[in-house]
Amino acid sequence: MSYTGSAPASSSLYWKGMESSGDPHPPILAGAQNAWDMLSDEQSQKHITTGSGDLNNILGGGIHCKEVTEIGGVPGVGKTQLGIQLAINVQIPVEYGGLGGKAVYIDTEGSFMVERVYQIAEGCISDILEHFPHSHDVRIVIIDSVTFHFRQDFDDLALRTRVLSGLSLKLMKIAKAFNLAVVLLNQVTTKFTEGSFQLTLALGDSWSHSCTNRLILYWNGNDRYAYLDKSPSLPVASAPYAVTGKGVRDAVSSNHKRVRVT
Amino acid sequence: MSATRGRSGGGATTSGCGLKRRNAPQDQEDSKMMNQDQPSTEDWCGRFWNGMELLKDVTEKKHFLPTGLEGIDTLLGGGLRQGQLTEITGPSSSGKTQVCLHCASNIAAKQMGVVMYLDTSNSFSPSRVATIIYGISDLFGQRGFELQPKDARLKSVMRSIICESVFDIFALFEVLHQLEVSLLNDKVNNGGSKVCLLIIDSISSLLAPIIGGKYPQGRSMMISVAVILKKLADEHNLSVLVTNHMVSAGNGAVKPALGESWKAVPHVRLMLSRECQNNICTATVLKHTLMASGRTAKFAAPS
Repeated sequence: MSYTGSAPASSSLYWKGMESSGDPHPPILAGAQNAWDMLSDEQSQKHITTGSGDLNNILGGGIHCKEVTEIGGVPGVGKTQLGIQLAINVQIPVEYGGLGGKAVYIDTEGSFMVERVYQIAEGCISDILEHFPHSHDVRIVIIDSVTFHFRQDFDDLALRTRVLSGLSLKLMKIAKAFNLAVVLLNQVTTKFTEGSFQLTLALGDSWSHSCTNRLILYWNGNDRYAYLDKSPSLPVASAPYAVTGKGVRDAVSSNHKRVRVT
Repeated sequence: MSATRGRSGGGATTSGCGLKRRNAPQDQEDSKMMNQDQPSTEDWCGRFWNGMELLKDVTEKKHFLPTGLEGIDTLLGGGLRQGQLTEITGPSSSGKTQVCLHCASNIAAKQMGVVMYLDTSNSFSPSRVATIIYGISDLFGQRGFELQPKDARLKSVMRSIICESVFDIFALFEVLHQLEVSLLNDKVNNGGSKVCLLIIDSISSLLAPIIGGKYPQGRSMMISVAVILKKLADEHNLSVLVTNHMVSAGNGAVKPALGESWKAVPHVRLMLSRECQNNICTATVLKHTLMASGRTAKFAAPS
Protein backbone atom coordinates (compact mmCIF):
# COMPACT_ATOMS: atom_id res chain seq x y z
CA MET A 1 0.00 0.00 0.00
CA SER A 2 1.41 3.35 -0.86
CA TYR A 3 -0.02 6.82 -0.64
CA THR A 4 1.01 9.72 -2.83
CA GLY A 5 2.60 12.48 -0.81
CA SER A 6 3.12 16.13 -1.66
CA ALA A 7 4.79 16.91 -4.97
CA PRO A 8 8.52 17.56 -4.64
CA ALA A 9 9.68 20.84 -6.13
CA SER A 10 11.39 19.16 -9.07
CA SER A 11 8.33 17.29 -10.33
CA SER A 12 6.61 18.14 -13.57
CA LEU A 13 3.70 19.46 -11.58
CA TYR A 14 5.64 22.42 -10.15
CA TRP A 15 3.11 25.15 -10.21
CA LYS A 16 3.89 28.80 -10.87
CA GLY A 17 1.68 30.07 -8.11
CA MET A 18 3.71 28.11 -5.59
CA GLU A 19 6.36 30.82 -5.37
CA SER A 20 3.94 33.49 -4.24
CA SER A 21 1.69 31.56 -1.90
CA GLY A 22 3.90 28.62 -1.01
CA ASP A 23 0.96 26.28 -1.46
CA PRO A 24 2.13 23.01 -2.96
CA HIS A 25 -1.35 22.12 -4.24
CA PRO A 26 -2.49 23.78 -7.47
CA PRO A 27 -6.06 25.04 -7.25
CA ILE A 28 -8.47 22.21 -7.95
CA LEU A 29 -11.56 24.36 -7.86
CA ALA A 30 -11.93 28.01 -8.70
CA GLY A 31 -13.82 29.16 -5.63
CA ALA A 32 -12.42 26.85 -2.99
CA GLN A 33 -10.17 27.68 -0.06
CA ASN A 34 -7.91 25.38 1.87
CA ALA A 35 -8.52 24.82 5.56
CA TRP A 36 -5.42 26.75 6.69
CA ASP A 37 -6.54 29.97 4.98
CA MET A 38 -10.03 29.48 6.38
CA LEU A 39 -8.53 29.11 9.87
CA SER A 40 -6.73 32.44 9.54
CA ASP A 41 -9.94 34.08 8.32
CA GLU A 42 -11.93 32.55 11.14
CA GLN A 43 -9.53 33.76 13.80
CA SER A 44 -9.93 37.34 12.63
CA GLN A 45 -13.73 37.13 12.70
CA LYS A 46 -15.60 39.13 15.31
CA HIS A 47 -18.69 37.81 17.02
CA ILE A 48 -21.85 39.71 17.86
CA THR A 49 -22.28 39.90 21.62
CA THR A 50 -25.67 38.99 23.06
CA GLY A 51 -25.33 41.21 26.13
CA SER A 52 -25.01 38.29 28.53
CA GLY A 53 -21.51 37.00 29.26
CA ASP A 54 -22.67 33.45 30.03
CA LEU A 55 -24.61 33.29 26.81
CA ASN A 56 -21.62 34.58 24.87
CA ASN A 57 -19.47 31.86 26.42
CA ILE A 58 -21.61 28.96 25.30
CA LEU A 59 -21.82 30.52 21.83
CA GLY A 60 -18.05 30.81 21.57
CA GLY A 61 -17.92 34.60 21.89
CA GLY A 62 -21.31 35.53 20.48
CA ILE A 63 -23.31 35.04 17.30
CA HIS A 64 -21.00 34.09 14.42
CA CYS A 65 -20.99 35.79 11.05
CA LYS A 66 -21.19 33.60 7.91
CA GLU A 67 -23.48 31.22 9.81
CA VAL A 68 -27.21 30.80 10.20
CA THR A 69 -28.29 30.56 13.84
CA GLU A 70 -31.75 29.43 14.82
CA ILE A 71 -33.18 30.53 18.16
CA GLY A 72 -36.35 28.86 19.37
CA GLY A 73 -38.45 28.82 22.50
CA VAL A 74 -41.91 29.09 24.02
CA PRO A 75 -43.71 32.42 23.69
CA GLY A 76 -42.54 34.88 26.32
CA VAL A 77 -39.09 33.47 26.96
CA GLY A 78 -37.30 36.34 25.24
CA LYS A 79 -36.72 35.49 21.59
CA THR A 80 -37.80 38.87 20.26
CA GLN A 81 -35.89 40.61 23.08
CA LEU A 82 -32.75 38.75 22.07
CA GLY A 83 -33.36 39.57 18.43
CA ILE A 84 -33.68 43.27 19.17
CA GLN A 85 -30.63 43.17 21.43
CA LEU A 86 -28.56 41.63 18.64
CA ALA A 87 -29.82 44.21 16.16
CA ILE A 88 -28.46 46.89 18.47
CA ASN A 89 -25.27 45.15 19.55
CA VAL A 90 -24.14 44.68 15.96
CA GLN A 91 -23.85 48.45 15.72
CA ILE A 92 -21.34 48.75 18.57
CA PRO A 93 -18.35 50.54 17.02
CA VAL A 94 -15.22 48.64 16.14
CA GLU A 95 -13.22 50.64 18.73
CA TYR A 96 -15.43 49.18 21.44
CA GLY A 97 -15.04 45.61 20.26
CA GLY A 98 -18.16 45.42 18.10
CA LEU A 99 -18.73 45.10 14.37
CA GLY A 100 -19.89 48.62 13.55
CA GLY A 101 -22.48 47.28 11.15
CA LYS A 102 -26.13 47.70 10.28
CA ALA A 103 -28.97 45.35 11.06
CA VAL A 104 -31.92 44.23 8.96
CA TYR A 105 -34.89 43.14 11.07
CA ILE A 106 -37.63 41.27 9.19
CA ASP A 107 -40.76 41.15 11.33
CA THR A 108 -43.50 38.72 10.27
CA GLU A 109 -45.66 38.84 13.37
CA GLY A 110 -45.78 42.49 14.33
CA SER A 111 -43.80 41.93 17.52
CA PHE A 112 -41.19 44.61 16.83
CA MET A 113 -41.94 47.32 19.40
CA VAL A 114 -40.12 50.50 18.58
CA GLU A 115 -40.38 51.94 22.10
CA ARG A 116 -38.69 48.84 23.48
CA VAL A 117 -35.96 49.19 20.85
CA TYR A 118 -35.38 52.76 22.06
CA GLN A 119 -35.13 51.53 25.67
CA ILE A 120 -32.62 48.82 24.79
CA ALA A 121 -30.58 51.19 22.63
CA GLU A 122 -30.40 53.65 25.51
CA GLY A 123 -29.39 50.81 27.84
CA CYS A 124 -26.58 49.82 25.49
CA ILE A 125 -25.33 53.39 25.08
CA SER A 126 -25.36 54.00 28.83
CA ASP A 127 -23.10 50.99 29.25
CA ILE A 128 -20.67 52.26 26.66
CA LEU A 129 -20.96 55.99 27.35
CA GLU A 130 -20.39 57.14 23.80
CA HIS A 131 -22.36 58.01 20.72
CA PHE A 132 -22.53 55.64 17.76
CA PRO A 133 -20.93 56.80 14.51
CA HIS A 134 -22.63 56.06 11.23
CA SER A 135 -22.21 52.37 10.41
CA HIS A 136 -21.38 50.87 7.07
CA ASP A 137 -22.56 47.47 5.88
CA VAL A 138 -25.32 45.19 7.00
CA ARG A 139 -23.79 42.61 9.33
CA ILE A 140 -26.88 40.87 10.70
CA VAL A 141 -30.26 39.82 9.32
CA ILE A 142 -32.88 38.80 11.87
CA ILE A 143 -36.12 37.11 10.82
CA ASP A 144 -38.83 37.15 13.51
CA SER A 145 -40.29 34.67 13.13
CA VAL A 146 -39.52 32.41 10.23
CA THR A 147 -42.36 30.08 11.22
CA PHE A 148 -45.27 32.46 11.14
CA HIS A 149 -46.24 32.43 7.47
CA PHE A 150 -45.54 28.75 7.10
CA ARG A 151 -47.84 27.53 9.82
CA GLN A 152 -51.11 28.54 8.29
CA ASP A 153 -52.51 28.20 4.77
CA PHE A 154 -49.99 25.61 3.65
CA ASP A 155 -52.06 22.58 2.76
CA ASP A 156 -49.34 20.80 0.85
CA LEU A 157 -46.71 19.83 3.42
CA ALA A 158 -44.32 18.51 0.80
CA LEU A 159 -44.41 21.87 -0.97
CA ARG A 160 -43.79 23.59 2.36
CA THR A 161 -40.72 21.43 2.95
CA ARG A 162 -39.36 22.21 -0.50
CA VAL A 163 -39.91 25.94 -0.11
CA LEU A 164 -38.32 25.93 3.34
CA SER A 165 -35.23 24.05 2.21
CA GLY A 166 -34.84 26.41 -0.74
CA LEU A 167 -35.18 29.35 1.67
CA SER A 168 -32.56 27.99 4.05
CA LEU A 169 -30.05 27.46 1.23
CA LYS A 170 -30.54 31.06 0.08
CA LEU A 171 -29.99 32.32 3.63
CA MET A 172 -26.82 30.24 3.94
CA LYS A 173 -25.58 31.68 0.68
CA ILE A 174 -26.23 35.27 1.75
CA ALA A 175 -24.53 34.69 5.10
CA LYS A 176 -21.42 33.36 3.43
CA ALA A 177 -21.27 35.73 0.48
CA PHE A 178 -21.77 38.95 2.46
CA ASN A 179 -20.05 37.81 5.67
CA LEU A 180 -23.06 38.54 7.84
CA ALA A 181 -24.92 36.68 10.57
CA VAL A 182 -28.41 35.38 9.92
CA VAL A 183 -30.59 34.81 12.98
CA LEU A 184 -33.91 32.99 12.63
CA LEU A 185 -36.42 33.03 15.46
CA ASN A 186 -38.67 29.99 15.63
CA GLN A 187 -41.73 28.96 17.60
CA VAL A 188 -42.33 25.67 19.41
CA THR A 189 -45.00 23.13 18.77
CA THR A 190 -46.00 19.82 20.34
CA LYS A 191 -44.94 16.58 18.79
CA PHE A 192 -45.99 13.05 19.63
CA THR A 193 -42.80 11.02 20.08
CA GLU A 194 -42.08 7.95 22.14
CA GLY A 195 -45.57 7.78 23.51
CA SER A 196 -45.89 11.32 24.83
CA PHE A 197 -46.34 14.85 23.68
CA GLN A 198 -43.15 16.86 23.71
CA LEU A 199 -42.28 20.39 22.81
CA THR A 200 -40.09 20.72 19.75
CA LEU A 201 -39.25 23.51 17.38
CA ALA A 202 -41.81 24.10 14.66
CA LEU A 203 -41.54 23.38 10.93
CA GLY A 204 -40.72 19.71 11.16
CA ASP A 205 -37.71 17.42 11.00
CA SER A 206 -36.32 18.61 7.70
CA TRP A 207 -36.12 22.23 8.87
CA SER A 208 -34.03 21.19 11.86
CA HIS A 209 -31.14 20.54 9.50
CA SER A 210 -31.27 23.91 7.82
CA CYS A 211 -29.28 25.97 10.28
CA THR A 212 -25.63 26.01 11.29
CA ASN A 213 -26.27 26.58 15.00
CA ARG A 214 -29.34 26.14 17.16
CA LEU A 215 -30.07 27.77 20.50
CA ILE A 216 -33.15 26.74 22.50
CA LEU A 217 -34.49 29.13 25.14
CA TYR A 218 -36.49 27.62 27.99
CA TRP A 219 -37.78 28.26 31.49
CA ASN A 220 -36.27 26.51 34.50
CA GLY A 221 -38.54 27.52 37.36
CA ASN A 222 -38.47 31.30 37.29
CA ASP A 223 -35.18 31.59 35.43
CA ARG A 224 -34.50 31.81 31.76
CA TYR A 225 -31.94 29.43 30.30
CA ALA A 226 -30.41 28.98 26.87
CA TYR A 227 -29.31 25.57 25.59
CA LEU A 228 -26.92 25.26 22.64
CA ASP A 229 -28.38 22.30 20.79
CA LYS A 230 -26.41 22.26 17.55
CA SER A 231 -23.01 23.64 16.65
CA PRO A 232 -20.19 22.42 14.41
CA SER A 233 -17.41 23.43 16.76
CA LEU A 234 -18.79 23.92 20.27
CA PRO A 235 -20.02 21.39 22.81
CA VAL A 236 -23.64 21.37 23.99
CA ALA A 237 -24.06 23.63 27.01
CA SER A 238 -26.61 25.61 28.98
CA ALA A 239 -26.36 29.11 30.36
CA PRO A 240 -28.74 31.34 32.30
CA TYR A 241 -29.62 34.83 31.15
CA ALA A 242 -32.02 37.59 32.14
CA VAL A 243 -34.15 40.14 30.34
CA THR A 244 -33.89 43.49 32.12
CA GLY A 245 -35.14 46.97 31.38
CA LYS A 246 -31.89 47.64 29.59
CA GLY A 247 -32.10 44.49 27.48
CA VAL A 248 -30.55 41.04 27.66
CA ARG A 249 -27.98 40.74 30.43
CA ASP A 250 -26.41 38.12 32.67
CA ALA A 251 -28.69 36.45 35.20
CA VAL A 252 -28.58 38.07 38.63
CA SER A 253 -27.14 34.97 40.26
CA SER A 254 -24.40 34.67 37.65
CA ASN A 255 -20.76 34.74 38.78
CA HIS A 256 -19.71 36.19 35.48
CA LYS A 257 -18.42 39.73 35.60
CA ARG A 258 -20.75 42.34 34.13
CA VAL A 259 -20.19 42.49 30.39
CA ARG A 260 -18.45 45.78 29.92
CA VAL A 261 -17.64 46.72 26.36
CA THR A 262 -14.50 48.86 26.65
CA MET B 1 -16.28 -14.61 -15.81
CA SER B 2 -16.24 -11.30 -17.52
CA ALA B 3 -17.58 -8.04 -16.27
CA THR B 4 -17.86 -4.74 -17.96
CA ARG B 5 -16.60 -1.51 -16.52
CA GLY B 6 -17.28 1.82 -18.17
CA ARG B 7 -14.11 3.61 -19.06
CA SER B 8 -13.59 6.81 -21.01
CA GLY B 9 -12.42 5.56 -24.37
CA GLY B 10 -10.18 7.60 -26.66
CA GLY B 11 -11.74 10.85 -27.71
CA ALA B 12 -14.50 10.85 -25.08
CA THR B 13 -15.11 14.04 -23.19
CA THR B 14 -16.16 14.38 -19.56
CA SER B 15 -19.53 13.04 -18.66
CA GLY B 16 -21.55 16.14 -17.81
CA CYS B 17 -24.84 14.54 -16.93
CA GLY B 18 -23.55 11.13 -17.93
CA LEU B 19 -25.44 11.22 -21.18
CA LYS B 20 -22.62 11.22 -23.75
CA ARG B 21 -22.25 8.20 -25.94
CA ARG B 22 -18.77 6.94 -26.45
CA ASN B 23 -17.38 5.80 -29.79
CA ALA B 24 -20.83 5.57 -31.34
CA PRO B 25 -20.80 4.90 -35.08
CA GLN B 26 -22.10 7.67 -37.35
CA ASP B 27 -25.71 7.46 -38.52
CA GLN B 28 -24.88 7.26 -42.23
CA GLU B 29 -22.65 4.30 -41.74
CA ASP B 30 -25.17 2.62 -39.47
CA SER B 31 -26.90 0.59 -42.14
CA LYS B 32 -23.58 -0.36 -43.71
CA MET B 33 -22.26 -1.58 -40.39
CA MET B 34 -25.41 -3.55 -39.71
CA ASN B 35 -24.77 -5.60 -42.80
CA GLN B 36 -21.10 -6.09 -42.12
CA ASP B 37 -19.50 -7.29 -38.87
CA GLN B 38 -21.31 -5.94 -35.81
CA PRO B 39 -19.35 -3.40 -33.76
CA SER B 40 -18.01 -5.24 -30.75
CA THR B 41 -19.61 -4.37 -27.44
CA GLU B 42 -16.30 -3.01 -26.33
CA ASP B 43 -16.61 -0.17 -28.80
CA TRP B 44 -19.86 0.85 -27.20
CA CYS B 45 -19.14 0.72 -23.52
CA GLY B 46 -15.47 0.27 -22.83
CA ARG B 47 -13.19 -2.54 -21.98
CA PHE B 48 -14.28 -5.78 -20.37
CA TRP B 49 -12.35 -6.72 -17.25
CA ASN B 50 -12.07 -10.31 -16.22
CA GLY B 51 -12.53 -11.41 -12.62
CA MET B 52 -8.81 -11.62 -11.79
CA GLU B 53 -8.12 -8.14 -13.10
CA LEU B 54 -11.00 -6.78 -11.06
CA LEU B 55 -9.76 -8.53 -7.94
CA LYS B 56 -6.25 -7.16 -8.49
CA ASP B 57 -7.58 -3.64 -8.96
CA VAL B 58 -9.66 -3.88 -5.80
CA THR B 59 -6.96 -5.29 -3.58
CA GLU B 60 -4.16 -3.06 -4.84
CA LYS B 61 -5.87 0.23 -5.43
CA LYS B 62 -9.11 0.45 -3.52
CA HIS B 63 -7.91 0.96 0.03
CA PHE B 64 -9.85 1.69 3.19
CA LEU B 65 -9.44 5.26 4.42
CA PRO B 66 -9.71 5.20 8.22
CA THR B 67 -12.04 7.77 9.75
CA GLY B 68 -10.08 8.00 12.99
CA LEU B 69 -13.17 7.05 15.04
CA GLU B 70 -12.51 3.51 16.17
CA GLY B 71 -16.12 2.40 16.60
CA ILE B 72 -17.02 3.50 13.09
CA ASP B 73 -13.90 2.08 11.49
CA THR B 74 -14.66 -1.35 12.96
CA LEU B 75 -18.27 -1.19 11.79
CA LEU B 76 -17.15 -0.26 8.28
CA GLY B 77 -14.51 -2.98 8.11
CA GLY B 78 -11.55 -0.60 8.10
CA GLY B 79 -12.94 2.73 7.04
CA LEU B 80 -14.30 4.43 3.94
CA ARG B 81 -13.48 2.35 0.91
CA GLN B 82 -12.06 4.01 -2.17
CA GLY B 83 -14.29 3.49 -5.16
CA GLN B 84 -17.39 3.44 -2.98
CA LEU B 85 -20.06 5.92 -1.95
CA THR B 86 -20.73 5.92 1.79
CA GLU B 87 -23.74 7.65 3.31
CA ILE B 88 -24.18 8.79 6.89
CA THR B 89 -27.70 9.56 7.95
CA GLY B 90 -29.20 10.59 11.26
CA PRO B 91 -31.45 13.09 13.02
CA SER B 92 -30.35 16.64 13.61
CA SER B 93 -27.32 17.12 15.84
CA SER B 94 -26.48 13.39 15.93
CA GLY B 95 -22.85 13.89 14.89
CA LYS B 96 -22.87 13.60 11.10
CA THR B 97 -20.82 16.76 10.53
CA GLN B 98 -18.43 15.74 13.31
CA VAL B 99 -17.78 12.39 11.59
CA CYS B 100 -17.08 14.26 8.34
CA LEU B 101 -14.67 16.66 10.06
CA HIS B 102 -12.92 13.75 11.78
CA CYS B 103 -12.51 11.90 8.48
CA ALA B 104 -11.11 14.95 6.73
CA SER B 105 -8.68 15.67 9.57
CA ASN B 106 -7.51 12.08 9.88
CA ILE B 107 -6.83 11.63 6.17
CA ALA B 108 -5.03 14.96 5.91
CA ALA B 109 -2.99 14.31 9.06
CA LYS B 110 -1.85 10.91 7.80
CA GLN B 111 -0.90 12.50 4.45
CA MET B 112 -2.99 10.07 2.45
CA GLY B 113 -4.01 12.69 -0.08
CA VAL B 114 -6.08 15.79 -0.62
CA VAL B 115 -9.57 16.02 0.90
CA MET B 116 -12.29 17.87 -0.97
CA TYR B 117 -15.04 19.13 1.39
CA LEU B 118 -18.26 20.51 -0.10
CA ASP B 119 -20.25 22.30 2.59
CA THR B 120 -23.91 23.30 2.19
CA SER B 121 -24.63 24.74 5.63
CA ASN B 122 -21.52 26.74 6.54
CA SER B 123 -20.67 24.05 9.09
CA PHE B 124 -17.06 23.49 8.12
CA SER B 125 -15.19 24.70 11.17
CA PRO B 126 -11.43 25.19 10.66
CA SER B 127 -10.85 25.62 14.39
CA ARG B 128 -12.56 22.29 15.06
CA VAL B 129 -10.38 20.65 12.41
CA ALA B 130 -7.26 22.12 14.04
CA THR B 131 -8.37 20.75 17.43
CA ILE B 132 -8.92 17.29 15.97
CA ILE B 133 -5.55 17.31 14.21
CA TYR B 134 -3.77 18.24 17.43
CA GLY B 135 -5.49 15.31 19.08
CA ILE B 136 -4.25 12.74 16.58
CA SER B 137 -1.48 11.12 18.58
CA ASP B 138 0.89 9.84 15.97
CA LEU B 139 0.90 13.01 13.90
CA PHE B 140 4.29 14.11 15.03
CA GLY B 141 5.82 10.75 14.32
CA GLN B 142 5.24 11.10 10.59
CA ARG B 143 8.32 11.19 8.46
CA GLY B 144 9.50 14.65 7.59
CA PHE B 145 7.57 16.20 10.43
CA GLU B 146 10.16 16.01 13.17
CA LEU B 147 12.22 18.85 11.76
CA GLN B 148 9.36 21.32 11.41
CA PRO B 149 7.91 23.50 14.15
CA LYS B 150 4.40 22.58 15.31
CA ASP B 151 2.69 25.41 13.48
CA ALA B 152 4.26 24.54 10.16
CA ARG B 153 3.09 20.94 10.53
CA LEU B 154 -0.48 22.07 11.16
CA LYS B 155 -0.24 24.39 8.18
CA SER B 156 0.89 21.72 5.75
CA VAL B 157 -1.76 19.30 6.99
CA MET B 158 -4.60 21.81 6.78
CA ARG B 159 -3.54 22.88 3.34
CA SER B 160 -4.53 19.51 2.00
CA ILE B 161 -8.15 20.03 3.04
CA ILE B 162 -9.96 22.09 0.44
CA CYS B 163 -13.40 23.42 1.25
CA GLU B 164 -16.00 24.96 -1.03
CA SER B 165 -19.50 26.15 -0.21
CA VAL B 166 -22.22 24.83 -2.51
CA PHE B 167 -25.77 26.11 -2.14
CA ASP B 168 -27.70 24.66 -5.07
CA ILE B 169 -27.74 21.60 -7.29
CA PHE B 170 -26.44 23.38 -10.37
CA ALA B 171 -23.41 24.66 -8.48
CA LEU B 172 -22.82 21.06 -7.38
CA PHE B 173 -22.83 19.85 -10.98
CA GLU B 174 -20.36 22.58 -11.88
CA VAL B 175 -18.04 21.75 -9.00
CA LEU B 176 -18.10 18.03 -9.79
CA HIS B 177 -17.31 18.81 -13.42
CA GLN B 178 -14.32 20.94 -12.44
CA LEU B 179 -13.15 18.22 -10.09
CA GLU B 180 -13.37 15.63 -12.86
CA VAL B 181 -11.34 17.82 -15.23
CA SER B 182 -8.72 18.39 -12.55
CA LEU B 183 -8.47 14.66 -11.80
CA LEU B 184 -8.09 13.82 -15.49
CA ASN B 185 -5.30 16.39 -15.77
CA ASP B 186 -3.61 14.93 -12.72
CA LYS B 187 -3.72 11.52 -14.31
CA VAL B 188 -2.03 12.88 -17.41
CA ASN B 189 0.67 14.73 -15.46
CA ASN B 190 1.11 11.70 -13.24
CA GLY B 191 2.25 13.39 -10.10
CA GLY B 192 1.33 15.61 -7.23
CA SER B 193 -1.12 15.09 -4.43
CA LYS B 194 -4.32 13.58 -5.62
CA VAL B 195 -7.78 13.99 -4.19
CA CYS B 196 -8.57 10.76 -2.35
CA LEU B 197 -11.70 11.73 -0.37
CA LEU B 198 -14.73 13.77 -1.40
CA ILE B 199 -17.15 14.80 1.34
CA ILE B 200 -20.53 16.41 0.65
CA ASP B 201 -22.21 17.70 3.83
CA SER B 202 -25.05 17.51 3.27
CA ILE B 203 -26.24 16.27 -0.07
CA SER B 204 -29.84 16.01 1.08
CA SER B 205 -30.16 19.75 1.60
CA LEU B 206 -29.24 20.27 -2.07
CA LEU B 207 -31.58 17.57 -3.36
CA ALA B 208 -34.58 18.08 -1.07
CA PRO B 209 -35.78 21.32 -2.70
CA ILE B 210 -36.05 19.76 -6.15
CA ILE B 211 -37.50 16.33 -5.43
CA GLY B 212 -41.20 15.73 -5.42
CA GLY B 213 -44.14 17.70 -6.55
CA LYS B 214 -44.91 18.18 -10.19
CA TYR B 215 -41.26 18.69 -11.08
CA PRO B 216 -40.07 15.35 -12.50
CA GLN B 217 -36.59 16.61 -13.38
CA GLY B 218 -35.71 16.62 -9.69
CA ARG B 219 -35.47 12.87 -9.42
CA SER B 220 -33.50 12.55 -12.64
CA MET B 221 -31.04 15.18 -11.39
CA MET B 222 -30.63 13.20 -8.19
CA ILE B 223 -29.83 10.07 -10.17
CA SER B 224 -27.43 12.05 -12.38
CA VAL B 225 -25.56 13.24 -9.32
CA ALA B 226 -25.45 9.66 -8.06
CA VAL B 227 -24.01 8.41 -11.36
CA ILE B 228 -21.37 11.14 -11.49
CA LEU B 229 -20.28 10.52 -7.90
CA LYS B 230 -19.99 6.77 -8.40
CA LYS B 231 -18.10 7.22 -11.64
CA LEU B 232 -15.64 9.63 -10.01
CA ALA B 233 -15.18 7.20 -7.14
CA ASP B 234 -14.56 4.25 -9.39
CA GLU B 235 -12.34 5.80 -12.04
CA HIS B 236 -10.18 7.96 -9.83
CA ASN B 237 -10.03 5.82 -6.69
CA LEU B 238 -11.91 8.36 -4.60
CA SER B 239 -13.90 7.61 -1.54
CA VAL B 240 -17.10 9.63 -1.48
CA LEU B 241 -18.82 10.41 1.83
CA VAL B 242 -22.23 12.10 1.88
CA THR B 243 -24.58 13.00 4.69
CA ASN B 244 -28.33 12.72 4.60
CA HIS B 245 -30.93 13.96 7.05
CA MET B 246 -34.05 12.19 8.32
CA VAL B 247 -37.72 12.84 7.76
CA SER B 248 -40.78 11.56 9.52
CA ALA B 249 -42.17 8.24 8.40
CA GLY B 250 -45.53 8.41 10.13
CA ASN B 251 -46.43 7.38 13.69
CA GLY B 252 -43.48 9.25 15.14
CA ALA B 253 -40.89 7.11 13.36
CA VAL B 254 -38.15 8.60 11.23
CA LYS B 255 -36.48 7.43 8.05
CA PRO B 256 -33.63 8.73 5.90
CA ALA B 257 -34.60 11.47 3.46
CA LEU B 258 -34.49 11.39 -0.36
CA GLY B 259 -36.84 8.44 -0.73
CA GLU B 260 -36.73 5.00 -2.25
CA SER B 261 -34.74 5.91 -5.35
CA TRP B 262 -31.80 7.14 -3.31
CA LYS B 263 -31.80 4.06 -1.06
CA ALA B 264 -30.05 1.95 -3.68
CA VAL B 265 -27.41 4.53 -4.52
CA PRO B 266 -24.81 4.41 -1.70
CA HIS B 267 -22.69 1.28 -1.33
CA VAL B 268 -22.56 1.62 2.44
CA ARG B 269 -25.13 3.32 4.67
CA LEU B 270 -24.60 4.16 8.31
CA MET B 271 -27.19 5.63 10.67
CA LEU B 272 -26.17 7.72 13.69
CA SER B 273 -28.17 8.63 16.75
CA ARG B 274 -27.24 10.39 19.94
CA GLU B 275 -28.78 10.22 23.38
CA CYS B 276 -29.05 13.74 24.77
CA GLN B 277 -28.42 12.85 28.35
CA ASN B 278 -25.12 11.06 28.21
CA ASN B 279 -23.47 12.01 24.91
CA ILE B 280 -23.21 8.41 23.68
CA CYS B 281 -23.51 7.97 19.91
CA THR B 282 -24.87 4.82 18.36
CA ALA B 283 -24.00 3.89 14.79
CA THR B 284 -26.03 1.28 12.92
CA VAL B 285 -25.11 -0.27 9.60
CA LEU B 286 -28.10 -0.06 7.25
CA LYS B 287 -26.34 -1.41 4.18
CA HIS B 288 -22.87 -2.80 3.43
CA THR B 289 -21.28 -4.59 0.50
CA LEU B 290 -19.13 -7.04 2.40
CA MET B 291 -20.62 -7.50 5.84
CA ALA B 292 -24.01 -8.11 7.40
CA SER B 293 -26.14 -5.07 8.12
CA GLY B 294 -27.84 -4.33 11.40
CA ARG B 295 -24.66 -4.31 13.46
CA THR B 296 -24.32 -1.44 15.87
CA ALA B 297 -21.54 0.20 17.81
CA LYS B 298 -21.68 2.67 20.66
CA PHE B 299 -18.99 5.21 21.29
CA ALA B 300 -18.55 8.43 23.20
CA ALA B 301 -19.31 11.54 21.21
CA PRO B 302 -16.03 13.00 19.94
CA SER B 303 -15.04 15.91 22.12
